Amino acid sequence: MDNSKVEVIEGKQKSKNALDFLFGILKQREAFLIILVAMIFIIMGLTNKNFLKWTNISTIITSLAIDGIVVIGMTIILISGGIDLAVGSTLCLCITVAGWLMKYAGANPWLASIVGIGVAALYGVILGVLVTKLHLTHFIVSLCFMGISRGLVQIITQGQNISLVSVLGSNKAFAFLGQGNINIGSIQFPMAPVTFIIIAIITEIYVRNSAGMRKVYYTGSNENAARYSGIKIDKVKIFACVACAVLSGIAGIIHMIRFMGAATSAGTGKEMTALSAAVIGGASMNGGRGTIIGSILGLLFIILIQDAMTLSNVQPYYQEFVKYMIVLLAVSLDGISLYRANAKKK
Amino acid sequence: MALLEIKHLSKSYAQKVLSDVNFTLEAGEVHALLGENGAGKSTMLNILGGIAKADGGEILIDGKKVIINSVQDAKNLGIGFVHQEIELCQDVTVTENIMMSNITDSSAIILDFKKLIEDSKKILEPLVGDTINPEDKVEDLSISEQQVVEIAKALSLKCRILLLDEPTAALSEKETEALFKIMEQLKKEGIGIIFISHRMEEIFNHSDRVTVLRDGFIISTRKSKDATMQELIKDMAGREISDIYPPKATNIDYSEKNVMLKVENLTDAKDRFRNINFELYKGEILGVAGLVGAGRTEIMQNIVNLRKRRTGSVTLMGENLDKYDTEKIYKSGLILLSEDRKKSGLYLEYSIGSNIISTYLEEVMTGMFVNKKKAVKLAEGMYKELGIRGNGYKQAVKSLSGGNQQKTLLAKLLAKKPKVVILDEPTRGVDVGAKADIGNHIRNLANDGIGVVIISSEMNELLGLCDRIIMIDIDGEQVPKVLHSKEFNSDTVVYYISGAYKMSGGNKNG
Repeated sequence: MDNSKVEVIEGKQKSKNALDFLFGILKQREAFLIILVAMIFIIMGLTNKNFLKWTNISTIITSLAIDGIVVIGMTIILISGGIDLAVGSTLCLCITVAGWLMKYAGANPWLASIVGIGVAALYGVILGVLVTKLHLTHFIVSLCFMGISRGLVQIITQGQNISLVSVLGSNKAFAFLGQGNINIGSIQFPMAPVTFIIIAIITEIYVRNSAGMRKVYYTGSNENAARYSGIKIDKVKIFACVACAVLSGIAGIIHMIRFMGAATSAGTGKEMTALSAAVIGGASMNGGRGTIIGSILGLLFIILIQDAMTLSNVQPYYQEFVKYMIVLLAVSLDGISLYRANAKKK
Repeated sequence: MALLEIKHLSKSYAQKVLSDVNFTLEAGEVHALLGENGAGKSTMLNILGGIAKADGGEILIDGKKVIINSVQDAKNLGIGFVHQEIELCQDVTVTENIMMSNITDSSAIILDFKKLIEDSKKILEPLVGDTINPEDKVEDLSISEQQVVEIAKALSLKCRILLLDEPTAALSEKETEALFKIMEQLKKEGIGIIFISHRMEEIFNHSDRVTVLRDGFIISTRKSKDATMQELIKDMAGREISDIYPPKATNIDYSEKNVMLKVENLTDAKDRFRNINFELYKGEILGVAGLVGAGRTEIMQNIVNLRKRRTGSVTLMGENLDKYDTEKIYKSGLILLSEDRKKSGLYLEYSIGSNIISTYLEEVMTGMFVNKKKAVKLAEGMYKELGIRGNGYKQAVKSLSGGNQQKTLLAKLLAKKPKVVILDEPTRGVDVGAKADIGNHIRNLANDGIGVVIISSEMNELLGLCDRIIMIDIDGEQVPKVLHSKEFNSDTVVYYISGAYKMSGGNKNG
């Protein structure tokens, strides 16, 4: 018989040059971001005397705390291959329900918060079911819920912000979660970041190590591979939707305590911040990629850039522009490294 | 008692895919499954693997009736599956891909990654030694390494029945050998293996029995050592081997005035190949032989200016193409059909008809609108003419087999009325029947005066179809000899393309 097929698979050529090195560093996303963050700290610390003042640091870590919890949720749903554009609206709906129950129905704030988070979870289930059973896209469904949830908030509140100053005043233990301070020497360390750090550590360990979360990675990376391994991908996707929604709700509760009320505009724009942070942190819109620590570093980076611009008296008009140019740069770099990887295989 | 017994299995999608299939697999046996694409082999394995559900019939393991409704069921019954297409999680490490089923069954909050890495190493070692690092991400692996991971993944299940759907399609020779060694080992452990391959050698050398499927029916089951190639091909295609390729061209005029395409001194900007020279004459099919990696695809991409060149010039029927961009080259009548069907211009979601019509739009328009009658007539005509086998021209292209997709693509290509076509692996992954159809069409093109250049990794195809063959050796240099059809011989071609001729001073006859 003839040699019907003659094939030699090309040996992989691993040539090292400067570009390879650069993209090698970019692949170590967390390390890269730590370096960037450190550089901002050093440059700003040396050039601006207000930057390292406790009031500024405290502002940074507090805004990191609330947005950080949303980012964790966004990261999980991105890993699963989905996206949730309604994280901000869900946050707002959650605190509107919780705030309304506390203020007008006299409900226990803990219980009211759990109900609020329950409403968020319900949204997560609806998103997950529509996506898996009706094969709608995350994008469209969550885009609709961006409006639906805001609409519900308007209906419940009749457009009025709910002030919770008196309710929180009489529930010190509850208020402590978002407003309290832990005194470390002369520094009053705010409680909100502590709550956030606890959540972050737990989710980081869970996301990195648990069998449950690995299934989310597999599903997001390649649905067929996941299915062929016996993973029930519908369940996994619904889980990711619910996790994201619940974390948005929890972020909302801390937001509500911190600002002593439920504003009808709460959470506006959070979807973009969360998405940007996750993408800068290495998550992919195609699923299967992303880490909690990376996304949090991405968020810290965004917050620091904004803070640095404010302190340096950059006009607010420029800030939005700069922020999203950075996001665009981040996704472009991802695109280039993907292109390079594919080109090498050929 | 057989390890696995299938009785009266049937399955229909739009048409009948499996009809009354009876099949047995003994413990410690490799049972090869042979058939053209679309014969139902993959469907049969998908049913056993829990991915598709049978309409009727029963499956028995150790004589006991079993029900396989999901992948999980199949896993629990000890059925491991290596799929035809590589389905791995690219963003995830090799270890996790191999151990995925294990991790799926776990509910651990903190997985023992060290142990998983150790376990995956144990599975990889006999296959490829330590050349694949289990902690690398799969996206960093070559295609053949990924195929190894895919196989390791199935082996991680400690299965009793192993389903291998074209496992060697993307493997190098060495890896293929390693796989067959593993299969021998598994046989000794009493594991039954069902094995699909299009490579006849593998079937003769490494299977105990061979069953041929055609159009969803079992045609024959033989002991592999008693089977002959002729018998098997006849069973598969319903025709003889000599009928596969059309007769060669006679009396081609190899004179200057008949040159259609002239390539001179072509050298790649990235040095993938150097000093390529050839002419294509009217009426002939010119083959380009070379090992994978020799740069054949890159040469063709360079000719149509998809890659940068350092030196060289290309002339199409007297017209110099050097300054043209790809689009203009195509318009001038030189078209490259790339090896990747799915990326090269098929609208997979659309029907065969819509795909064909998309390039003939001007012919089916009445004023501003598509004339439906004309369109249907054209689509039906092309569908029949090219011998596309499906449920009619309305079928979606994505549900067609590779061969039929390729025919659809050819139909689109011809609409552009090219002068010269370059076909890169025109029958990759295509079954014998479709190969014959496509081969006939290509010959018809040449007879109609269209110049044809073919790249193929399949020796039989080059030898069977082409009138002359130019060869590129492994260093990316053109072999100084051009073979004419009477000199065709696979040993000769291998001698040249492997670069062996350089070592022995270039004296080798036939």
